[in-house]
Order: sequence, then C-alpha cells, then structure tokens
Amino acid sequence: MVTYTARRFVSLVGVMLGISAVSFTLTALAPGDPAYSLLHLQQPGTEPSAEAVGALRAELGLNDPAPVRYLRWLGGAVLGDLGVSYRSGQPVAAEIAARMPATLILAGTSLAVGLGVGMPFGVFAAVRPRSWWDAVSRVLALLGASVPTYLLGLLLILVFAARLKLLPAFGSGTARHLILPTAALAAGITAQIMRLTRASMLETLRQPFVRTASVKGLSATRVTVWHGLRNAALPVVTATGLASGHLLGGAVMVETIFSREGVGKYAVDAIFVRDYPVIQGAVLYTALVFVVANFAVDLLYHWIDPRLRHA
Amino acid sequence: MLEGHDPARPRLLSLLLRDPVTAVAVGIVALALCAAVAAPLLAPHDPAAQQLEHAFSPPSERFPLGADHLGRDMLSRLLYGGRATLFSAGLVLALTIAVAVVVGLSAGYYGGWVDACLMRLADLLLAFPSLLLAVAIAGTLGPNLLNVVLALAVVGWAGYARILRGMVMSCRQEEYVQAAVALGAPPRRIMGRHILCNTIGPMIVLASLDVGAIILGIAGLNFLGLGMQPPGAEWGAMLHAAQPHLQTDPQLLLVPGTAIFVAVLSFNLVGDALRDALDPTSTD
Amino acid sequence: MSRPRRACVLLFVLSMLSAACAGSATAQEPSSAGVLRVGAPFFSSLPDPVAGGGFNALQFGLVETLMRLDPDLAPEPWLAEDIRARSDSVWAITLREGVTFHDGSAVDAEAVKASLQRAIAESEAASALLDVADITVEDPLTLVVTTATPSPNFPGLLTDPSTAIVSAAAARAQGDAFASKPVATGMFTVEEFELDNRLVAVRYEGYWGEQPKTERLEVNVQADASARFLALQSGQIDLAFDISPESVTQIEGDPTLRAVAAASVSTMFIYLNQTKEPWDDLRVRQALAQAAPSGEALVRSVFRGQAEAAVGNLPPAVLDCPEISKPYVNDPEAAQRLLSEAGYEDRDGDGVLERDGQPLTLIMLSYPQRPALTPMAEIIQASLQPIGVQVEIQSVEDINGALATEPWDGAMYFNNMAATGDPFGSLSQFFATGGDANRGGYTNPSVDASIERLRALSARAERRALACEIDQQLLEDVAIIPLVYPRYVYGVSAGVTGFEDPHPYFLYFMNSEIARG
Repeated sequence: MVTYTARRFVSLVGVMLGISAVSFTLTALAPGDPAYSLLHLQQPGTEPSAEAVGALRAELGLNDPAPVRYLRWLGGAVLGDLGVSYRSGQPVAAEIAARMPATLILAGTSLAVGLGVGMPFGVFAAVRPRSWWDAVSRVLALLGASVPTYLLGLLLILVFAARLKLLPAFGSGTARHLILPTAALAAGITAQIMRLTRASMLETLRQPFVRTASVKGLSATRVTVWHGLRNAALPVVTATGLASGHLLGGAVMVETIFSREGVGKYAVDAIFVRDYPVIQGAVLYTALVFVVANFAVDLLYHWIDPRLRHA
Repeated sequence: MLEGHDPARPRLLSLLLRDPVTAVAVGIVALALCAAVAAPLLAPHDPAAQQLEHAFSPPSERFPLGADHLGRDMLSRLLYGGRATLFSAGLVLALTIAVAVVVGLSAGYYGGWVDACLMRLADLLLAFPSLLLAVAIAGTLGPNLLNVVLALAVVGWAGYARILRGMVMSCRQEEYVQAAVALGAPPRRIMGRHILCNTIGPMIVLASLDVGAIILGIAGLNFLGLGMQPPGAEWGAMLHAAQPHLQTDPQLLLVPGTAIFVAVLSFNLVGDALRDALDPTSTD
Repeated sequence: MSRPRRACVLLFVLSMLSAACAGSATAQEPSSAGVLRVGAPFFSSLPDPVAGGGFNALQFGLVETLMRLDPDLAPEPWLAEDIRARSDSVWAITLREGVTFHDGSAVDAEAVKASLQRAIAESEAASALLDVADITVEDPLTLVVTTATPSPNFPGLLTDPSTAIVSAAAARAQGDAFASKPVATGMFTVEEFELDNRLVAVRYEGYWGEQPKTERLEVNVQADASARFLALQSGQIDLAFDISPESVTQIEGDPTLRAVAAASVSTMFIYLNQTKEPWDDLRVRQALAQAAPSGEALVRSVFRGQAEAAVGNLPPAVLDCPEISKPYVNDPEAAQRLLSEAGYEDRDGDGVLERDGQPLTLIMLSYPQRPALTPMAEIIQASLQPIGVQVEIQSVEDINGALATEPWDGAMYFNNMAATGDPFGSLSQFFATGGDANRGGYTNPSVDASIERLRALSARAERRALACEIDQQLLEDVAIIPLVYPRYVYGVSAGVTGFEDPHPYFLYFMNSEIARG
C-alpha cells in the first residue's frame, strides 16, 4: 500500500507539471499584449503610450523566452502566487480561494444527490431485472444523460423562479439558492451513477460467490445488499472520480446561468474579457482539484479492494 | 455457405429494429441526418432573412414553427441549425478518430518510449475537466464554429487513443501478425493491413456511441457564445439568443432545446442498442 | 475484517458531503428592514473617482460633487453652498458648514482644494475638463478657482463625477486600499466592494444632508438584463436598473412590480473607426448612414416603443434643436451609388463589394450589458448585406477594453449625453479630436474650433444655437451614426417607496427618500 501510494504520488506530481505546462501554453498562444491590457485597465479611457507599454513589458519580463517565463510562473504558482487579474488588479490565488467554496458546495451537493438517488435506483434495478423499477430507472438514466445541463437550468428557472416564484434564480448564500442549480447539475451525474451501479451490481450478482452464499442459507436480502454491494461499490468509486470531472465542467454552465460566484463562472468571465492570468490560474486550479480527487479515489479503490492490497 | 449472403449484417439491423423504441430512435437519427443534408432544399425561407413586422409571430402557414425576435423563420433556422450542429459533430468525430488512430497506432505498435510519451500526453489531457478546457481553448482562439470543433477534438482524442492502443497491442500479439513480422513485411503494411483493419471497425463504433455527448458539447459551447456568430443558425446559438426572451416568448428556447434533446436522446438510444448488439455479454 | 473498514469509508464519504451541504445552510437571508437591494448592469471601475471616473460611485451615493444637475439638467449647488463668477475665468465657491468626510474630518476649503488638485493630477478626464490655472483658499469655507481660459460653464463642469470630493489626506494615508473604500462625503460608505460584482454600503450617520431612509444598500452587478429582471421577479432584489422592453411588457401583468421610466438622456449609436480605411472616406460613411435601418423601424421591433428614433447625436432632453434635420435618410440605392463612386465593385459575384482586392467587411462590436444593442446589430447587419457590406458581429464583455485593443470597424454603443448638463460636455468628449470618448478617432478641425468657441460662450441661447450647428455638422460628417434615444426603465418592486419620479439622468439615481417599505 505504501509503495503504491508513493508511486502514484510521483506520477501525480508529473501530471501536475504537465497540467501547468498546458495551462501556460494556452495563454502564451493567445493574441494580445498583456502589458497593454494591464496599462489600459489602470487608466480606463486613455490609450497607453508605446514607451509605457515597452517599459512594463521589460518590468514584467515579458520579453524573455517562453520557457523562462513558464518557469518563473511555475515557481510563483508553487508558492501560491498565480499572478494578478487584469480586470480587478487583485491576486488571482485569493480570488480563486474566495470562490472555491461556492463551486465545491455545488459539486459536492450534486454528487451527494447523484449517489443518494443513483445508487439505490441502480441497486433495485439490478436486483429486480425487467420489472417496472428497472424500466423506470433505465429511462431516467437515458433522459438524464441526454438533456443538456444548460437547457435544464433555463427551464428550471423559467418554471420555478419566474412562473411559480418558489425558488431564487440567482446568487448563493442559502440552501434555497442551491436547489435549482443542484437539480440542473445532478441530473447528468445521477444518470451516470444509476447506470454504472446497475451494471456493476448485475455483474457481481452473477459471480459464483454470491450463489455460494445463498446456498449456504444466508437470507436473500443479506446476500444481495451486503455482499453484492460491497463488491459493486468498487467501480462506483472509480466512477465518482471520473464524475467529478463532469461535475466541474457542468458547474461551469450552471454557475454561469445561475450567477453563482464560483470558480467556473470566474473562468468563463475571464475568458470573455481576455483576463489571461485568471484563465491560466483557474484552469490550473480546476485541473488540480480533478487530479487530486482522482488520486484520492485511486487510493481508496486500492485500499478497499483486498485483491490489490496484497498484490 | 450461401453465396452473396452476409450473415452478420441482417442480424445487426434486425436487432436494432426489433425493439420499437430503438427503431423510432434509428428513424429519428436518419431523419435528422437527412434534414441536415437537405436543409437548403427543405427550408421555406432564408434562415437569415429578417421580417421585423412578424417578430415573435406564432406558428402559421408562413412560419410553420413561428418566427423569432427578428422575424426569422424558426423552421428554416432549425434545419440550418441542425446542419451546423450535426456537421460540426461529424467533423469533431472525424478529427478525434483521425488523431486517435495516429497516436494509438504508433503507441501500440512501436511500444517503448514512443508509447510512454504518447500515453503520458493522453493522460495529461484526460486529467483536465473536458468542458472547461474546451471553453478555454475556444475562448482563446476566438468565437467561431471551427474553433469550437477544434477545441472539442483536442479535448476528445485522448480517451480513444488509449483504447485503440490497447486494441492494437493485443492485435499485435496475434499469430498472423507475428507471422507477417517474421516474414519481413514492412511495418506500414502490417499496421495498415493487419492491425488497422481489425481495430478500426470497433473503434469507429465506440466513437459513434459518443456522438450524443459531442452534440451536447457543441451546443453547449455555442450557448456560451463561443461558436457561431449572428446571423448564423446553430442550435446552441439559438438557445443563447433566446435567453432574453425566456419569459415572454419561451418558444424561442423550446424549439431548439427540444431539437437538441431529441437528437441527443436518439443518438444515445441507437448507441446503446449498438453496444448491446455488438457485445451481448455487457449488462448495460 | 474488511466490513468495518468499508463502513468507515462510507461513513467518511457521507460525512464529508454532509459537511459541505451544511456550510450552505448556515448563511441567513439578510433582514429586510432598512435594506435596499439593487441590480445594476455595471460597476466596472473602482469607487475612487480618480481611479475609475466616479460614475457608479456617485450613482450609489458614495461620493458627491460640488455641483449637480437638476431635473432640467441645469447645474445647481450640491456639496457647495453657492458658486459665483467674479469674472469669466474666476469663480468663488462657498462651501456648506458642518460637512464631514466619512472619517469625521472636516470638509473645508483646504480639503476641497486638495481633492481638486488630486483629481487634476491623477485623472486625465478631470484635468481635461476643468482646465484650472489656480486654486486659492480665501477662508475656511471659500475657495477661488481661476481657469486657464474663460469657462462660462464651469459650474456645469463641476458636476462631472471625476471631480467628486474625497479626502486627499486619507488617500495618501491609505494607499491602494483607498481605491475600493474611498473616504468621501456621500450618504453611504463602502462596507464591501468587489469589482463588477457587488457593493455593500451602509448609511453614513454623519451625513450633512437628509438622512437616507435606507440603512444598508446592496448592489448586485448582473450584466444580463433578463437575469436582473428575473432577480427582481423572484424577490431577490427590490429594484433593477435598465430592464429590457420585454420585461416592461411583463411588468404590466404583474401587480407586485412597477416600471418607472425616465425621459431619455442617452443615445444608442454606432461608432465608426475612422483611423482605418475605408471608414475615413466620407462617402463610405454616408453610404452606411443611408443603408442603416430607420430609427422608427428599430423602435418598433427591438424596443417595443420604449425609445424614440434619433435625429441629432444628442437627445432633445439634453439639446433641443427643432431645426436639426437628418442629412442622410434610409435610401439603399443612394448608398450603393456612393459605394461605387468610392471605387467599390462586386467583381466575383459573391454579394460582397471589393476595392483593390479587399472585400468590404465590417467588424461590428457589441456588448451584452445593454440588451438592445445586439439585436439592433443583427438588423443593421441584415440591412447592410444587400448593398454589399459584409458585417461580422462580435459580442464582447468589456467593450471599452475591446475598442482600445481589438481590431474593429464599427461598434454598437450606448451612452448618456447629459454629462455636465450642457452639450459642451458631451460634444467635447465624443467629437473633439482626442476627446476622452472619441473612440472612433473622428477629427474635423473646424468642429474643434467651434467646440472651443462653445466653451467660452456665456449666453444660453447662443450656446444652444452654436451647439445645434455643431450637431448638424457632425451629422453631415457622419462622425457617428445615431440610432435611437432609449428610455431608461427601472423595474421596481411594489414595496419600494420614494422612487416615483426619478431624475431623468440615471447618474442621480440615489436619493434619501428611497427605501424598501
């Protein structure tokens, strides 16, 4: 277990370095002059002079070759300095940290709903194949995977916020603000988890050990729910890791539509105003969260599965 | 052995058409593709033609699905929009497969450090939440349907490359491939003839299962404002334009929204059925 | 052995998730007594007038200028008690007694002088506007300003938000923090500020004027007009700025909401980038003006009647010129003739004109914060296409940034024309060579000379006549293409009092009466 963790950690660091390189390349390829944009931000309405732009470029080290700039940025990033936003002049790291909770709460709640609804449905569907329960869950899973998150979000706003005036349409701060965004985001995740749980349960139930257990005289429910679920949980754990990627991506849409101040909306807003330090920082941060989540899931998987633990 | 009779083909088609729901889905997919191709013939109006006096008008003889906020025919925009969305999806699919084939084949065949390098790159891309990276790429390159296609292709190839690599590697171990190598056949020939032919089929099918997700991605990026610019018609862009009128004229939103939903649903159903038909042991 | 392990894992995961959910349940809705929640489209510059121009800061009662505009857009004293001309370049300003800054320090002549000098030194807008030669303190409540050239409209210039009075001493002491939380004289002080996102302000108990009924002001920035309106409908805000015409229609059916409209002091127009070809050619600009859709068509379709078709560049509420006339009316054939005169032909039959191998394409910028602009851009695109001009619409979030840094040919724009209450302010800002808001680079030396003459004229009737002449010349030159004068409509929840008859200029939105009942 320890060696496995160590090996995975080393590989994690490698992936993070790669992510930072991709992040940096993304903005290095972008058009426009950062020094010009910065000066323009500081004095709105005036045209920065060529000398001022040149001086700022030299000061910021923008004339250095790309690898040097990358290493400089990376060095800063490791120490927690992701640069300064062109738009607000505030440190990017601080702005991201301030918006982290909103995104994590949204993603976490959606994941909880996904697991809380998806898993039981998946289990029951597997245990009672070809029943109406099975049919219903398959239909729901298909619908959930097919409806665009943004369309669902807009429809929820139309019905619940505008027409029925039951729930708030934008912002964050209370549990009520969370309901509609979570409903929009959770649909896709729930569908995925439902399908995966069902598939995994079905596979497990076919295993010899299950039949053995039922032959031994253990009650049917005990066999299915306990023994089957334990083994079926493994792929679900993996799926949760993968789902977190979809969650973070879907959160971008949901935060934009519902005006929740999270990292997703922050990144999209920055993309539209070409606030490159923010784009770089937000992409890096989101990818890191995803990678770390997967890393944790990996370890969890390895720890749960007795076959792997003693490998 | 009956002449001229391929036992595999009718089985697949009959499997697909046996279940009524799947049959309907297949029909819808076929219909959507035909409509996309034939849009210029089917559309009653020019999708960009504005008739301001008729803005927001309900469905009528002149406007079968009503008119939008600038008096443009919703049906024509839906048809041309479907063309843009579906063709872009096809393009993303083609690009994704092309890159995945090159990368997967090289990695699987040559192995060693080529494999290690390429798979590291793929892992790296897979480490990013795909939608965010696609938004970042498309946003940086500029709002343009082509850039949306590029962004989604860049984000999408990695998964397929990994799968193809796995298939190539196992194929390479096959006896007939080993025999070809022993006989001194050039690598290109081995890769092309023996390996690729056996792996490309399942590869394409696998990718096709994801068309629904690709359509959602294209419409999503357009919805954010990143793709097709006015006056072009595209389903996601139509959703974007319908937002200010969400409350007063929701049909502007519901028409393209329903189209996206139905199209994705149908593609997903067909994909599921294909998967069931090809791999009966799968429990999905 | 593995069973308790698994249970632990499950428990751990569940507790993490529930902890995440619990976090969101502890935040409370703010209590409604004395709190006014507003939805605004912008707050894209810092509250310090020197850093950001001061418009939004003044709008929300954070800072104040020496003079303000009354509902007829004539200057009247505000922070100052009185202003008197001693000669045509010397002005004596008498201050009110007992006015204090937010930190309690006195607003006396020395402090006002320091503030004005700071503005002139650090704000290009203020220094260009005020053109001050000297400021002298005569006694603690009087200061004398001498302008470099005769400036009969000096009182009007002092209404510009960039000249708002702040504590220069505090600015020095606090450094960068001052920009977000300026120490000024307004009825509210900043408690929390996030650029282009949120402002929370609390009542200043030491305010010199009438105590505002609202204790706490929360401004939420929502660029999207329908999102603002949605927030109003669902009760999250009490007042929404600049709602779209569709929303006005909806309010008519909703008893809990009111639409409060002010006569227009703004123009929606098209900037033309005259620093690049072919927009520097008058014939091409004329052709565009003749091919553009008529104001009436736009008012009917995009505004549902909530606007007036534009004639001059400035709306009648700001500059009333009954004799002004549009030199170029909607006439596509004339437009086509002009373009071929300018050397444009469609040789390859693709529907787009070319000259010297270059197609006639127009990159038109637009922005989402003013919802009518993009649909208008699309209509204009459809009107220009038949005459062979290919328009490419690009929607940007930061229009001013894009105008300065991105390539563009045309830009949809909305701006109030009431700055300083007198046409001179807008005319010099938008149309003088090098003007602050002259983003298209329009230049005409004879217009510049006329604008300078306007600065020095004192008789009101003469000023009006000269301003109208200038406006007519600007129309002939196609400096910009004015489209409509949109009405500024606020969406107000029924419980809000003190907001029945808003000031026509949305700069003066805040008053002490407004409160949520």
